[in-house]
Amino acid sequence: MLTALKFTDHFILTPGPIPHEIRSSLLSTFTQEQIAELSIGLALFHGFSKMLIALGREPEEMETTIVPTPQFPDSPVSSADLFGNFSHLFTDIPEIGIRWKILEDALLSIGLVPDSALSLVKHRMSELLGVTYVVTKEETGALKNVDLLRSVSDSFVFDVRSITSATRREIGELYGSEGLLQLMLAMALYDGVLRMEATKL
Amino acid sequence: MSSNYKSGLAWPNEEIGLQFRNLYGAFWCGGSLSHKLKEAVRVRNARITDCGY
Repeated sequence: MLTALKFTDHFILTPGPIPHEIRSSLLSTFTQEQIAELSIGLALFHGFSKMLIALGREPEEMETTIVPTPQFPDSPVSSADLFGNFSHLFTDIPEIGIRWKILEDALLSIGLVPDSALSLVKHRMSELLGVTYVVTKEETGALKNVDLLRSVSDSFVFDVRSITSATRREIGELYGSEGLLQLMLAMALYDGVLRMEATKL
Repeated sequence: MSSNYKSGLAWPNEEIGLQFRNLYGAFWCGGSLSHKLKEAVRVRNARITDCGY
């Protein structure tokens, strides 16, 4: 348990190559599959926590509610669907990796935020987290609002509470309220997968 | 826009909500890590991130 919590602290607070001591401890405690499972759990928890904060949807006003454990999905998936950037992170956990990819593809297909804007955001987040993710100038060259997108990316990765209602309003004026959701969901997924890559586990 | 009132999560459309639930369900119900460990890590993230969930 302590090893998992040390890994959690590193993943959230000091994303980057995992220190030797924590790596050795993880490898002697867990299987590769379990380490991948732990990493994807952290990616989900951390990314979607920040998404909710960025959207201003926090539970202060809500009553305490017990939410049942989600059910295992009954829809079958094929490992042939697992490809693309960072797919190697999911080699040991294909059932999860394929569903991550399906969610990311569904998100891209919404089309309210231009693909070029999403590429720029992913690239900026990769720079911040020390991960290589190449984007060509042709992909983002004609994009407007570059400064805003870079600034929101910076905030999402390291200071999510600096995303204010004014920021949300500005993004909403560009892409609409559902576009704001699309952008923040994409940031949650990118933040998670890039932090996983950054650990170099 | 669809929303899950229990969790505060909101989705651009039902398809995205469905695919998120499939992913989250696969994580919680699959694999070999214990629920206890997964929950400990979830709570640790919430504490560090200052997230109320």
